[in-house]
Order: sequence, then C-alpha cells, then structure tokens
Amino acid sequence: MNATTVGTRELDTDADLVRRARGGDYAAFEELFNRYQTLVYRFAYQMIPRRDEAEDVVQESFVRAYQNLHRYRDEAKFTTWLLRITHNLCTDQKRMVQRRTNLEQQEAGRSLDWMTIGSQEDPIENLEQDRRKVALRKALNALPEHHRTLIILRDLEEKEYSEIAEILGCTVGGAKLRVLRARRALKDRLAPLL
Amino acid sequence: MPEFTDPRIISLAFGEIPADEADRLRAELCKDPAIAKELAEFESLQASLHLLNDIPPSQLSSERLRDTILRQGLKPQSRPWWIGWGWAPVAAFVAVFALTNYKMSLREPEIRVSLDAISNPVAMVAPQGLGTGPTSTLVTKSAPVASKNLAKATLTSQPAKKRRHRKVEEESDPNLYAMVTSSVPGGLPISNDAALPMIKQAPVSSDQGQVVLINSEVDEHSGAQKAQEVEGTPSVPVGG
Repeated sequence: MNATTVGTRELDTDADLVRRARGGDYAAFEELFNRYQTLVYRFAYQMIPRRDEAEDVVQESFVRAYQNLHRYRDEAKFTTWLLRITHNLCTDQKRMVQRRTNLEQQEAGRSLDWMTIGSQEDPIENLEQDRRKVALRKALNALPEHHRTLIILRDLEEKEYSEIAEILGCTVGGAKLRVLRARRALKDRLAPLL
Repeated sequence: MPEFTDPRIISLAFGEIPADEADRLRAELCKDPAIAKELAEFESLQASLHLLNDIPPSQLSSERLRDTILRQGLKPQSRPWWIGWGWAPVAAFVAVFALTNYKMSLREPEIRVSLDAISNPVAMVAPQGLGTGPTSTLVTKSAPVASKNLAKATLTSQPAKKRRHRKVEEESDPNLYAMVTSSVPGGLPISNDAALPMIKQAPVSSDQGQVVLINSEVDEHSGAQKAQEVEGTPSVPVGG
C-alpha cells in the first residue's frame, strides 16, 4: 500500500470521525483527540515553551474545534484545520505571556530567565549540547512570532509547504519565501554560536 | 555575495534541493569562500535545530478535555456551514424583486379609479374627428364591464411617457364620473382596440346621455398641454 493510499484512508477516517462527532458522538471526537493531541502539543510547546501553558493551549484548541466542528470543511485536512486553531491560540497566548513575563522579570530583577526556556535540566546530557540547546531556544523565542511559526512548522515539525500555506492562509510561494526569511533571521541571531 | 544566491544556499543547507542538483550546486557555490562559509553556518543551524525536538511529555488526557467540555456545557453545532449564509440569496431575490417593482411603478401610471365605487363610469372613447381631442362619454350602469375594458385599453395603448390620467369625481352627483386623458396629435391611438366597439354599443338611456367633448391644445406661454371643454354638460366637471 503506497503512501497516498494510506494518506487518503487516514483523511477519510478523519472525515468520518468528524461527521460522527458533528452528530453528537463524543467518542468520535475523543478518538480525534487521542490521535492528534501529541501533534498539537508539540507545536504548542515549540510556540510557548512552558509545558503547563502549552497543555492549556492544546486543550483550548480541541474545545474550540469541538465548538466549531460545523465550520470544518472536509476538503481540508483535519490536522491542518486544527493546527490553524492552535496557531491562533498560541499567538494570543504568547502576547499575554510576554506581557506577564516582562512584569515578572522586572519584579525579580531578571532572575527568572529559566521560565522562558522551558527545557528540563538533564544532568546526563552533554553540557555543550545543553548550552547550544538553550541558546537555540532563546534565539527562537526571541524571533518575531511570524518567523518563529515558520521555523517550527517547517524545520521542527517538518510540514509540507502546501500545508504551511493552508495553516497560515497564504500561497505556497509565500510560505517558501517566509521560511527563507525566518531561517535567515534565526541564523543572524545565532551567528556567534554558529 | 549576490542577493539571488541566498535562497539557493538556504535551500541547499536545509536539504530542499534534489540530490543530483545539490551536488552540482554545492560545487558551484563553494568556489566562493564567503558563500561556502555561509552555507556551513546554515548547515550548522539546520543540525542544531534538531536539539529543539526534545519536548517534555504532556499530561493531557481525554478525561480532562471531556471535563472541560462538559463544564462549559458545550454542544457541537450540527447545522451545516452554509446555513449562516442562507439568508444571502433570499435577501438578494427580495432586493431584485423590490427594485423591479419600483421601476415598474415608475413606468406604469397609478390607476386610482375604483370602478366598484362608480355607479356611472365615464370612459374615454375615440375622437369623433381627425385632429380633435378625445371625447368622454358617460357610460351607464348597464355596461360596467365594457368600461373597465376601455380604461385598461386606454392606458396600455398610449406611449408610457405621455400618459397622464386624471380622476375627476363629482362630489355633488356620484353617478357621474369623468376621466380626462391628454391627447396625442391625431387623437387617441386606441381606434384598433377591440374593447372600443363594446363601449360604443353600450346602451345609453336618453336622459343620461350627457356627452363631454374635450379639445386639447398647447398653451402658448408654457407649451404645456391643456384641455378645453368644447361641448358637454355642466354636471360633468372636467380637468386637464
């Protein structure tokens, strides 16, 4: 069985689950949640590198998806539609978190920088790798939101350009151009490290 | 470094160029040390990004989601997406219908003659002679259908822009009613109307056979059409 067939079957199954969920079958929606919660969580965590907030965003994403199932059109992939909801929520959440973090940092005299990193300390890991990782995370978080989204979608989640274009509501060519710009911006921030 | 090479460097570093073309491009780009350095930096960046894929596990659960959904008392809305826009074609149809009616009302004269309330309607008949104006004839109760037909025929037989209708009601004598229509040169163009002979054949009693002759002419000062009563009866008011 080739990938297309598998992909088509998965798409059909998603559409079927959505149809059942629309009809009030909550178990069908739970199946969608179980299937895609990790995907959504990974994306949300990259966007908002705090586990608790990322989990809140994931939960809110599925709640909104459930509320707006009647708006989902079957011609789009369910995951694309779901990630679009998550992206919008992450954007809102990021703004709110940024304001709150700035206030907290001001009050604590910049001693709470670890809160914005989100990675868990692992004593076994190589220290150099840790340093690079922290620097990368900081550089990524310091990018403008539209650049960070592109890096996450393309280089971390490895989405196709067509899907990125659908999530962001732009053309495929526009998505490619934005990715190039985002990579250049990230590289400029990491130049000393690289 | 030329600006146009930048996208190729990035695409090459991130593995978005087919392998055969990538080798050729790499060989070409690495001739310039500055470009080769930039390519190495992008490749280093691409390799480092994989470090960020280490994500702590989530504590999400379907029970937590279910609780949230139930707590908010949400129900999936099962109505189709297009229901929200269902009013649009209906509104468009109503708008077109209203506009069409409005235009029609501008073209068609408003007939305010209530034939049911008229006991002795008077309708326009053909001119009695060439070059003379239209003649109003009293129609008796015995020919109400004929008078309705005539009124309709008169309205539809004239050019739309030149039609003018006046309703004159005799307050002192409700049995008399006259409608005066401006004439067109050469008289009213209703001579071919099928309804006209019915009027002429309508029986008229001798005591009610009052006839009003109206001659239209152009006012010298204003140039407007005006009607002048030529022959008639004092109990039939004529306007024009």
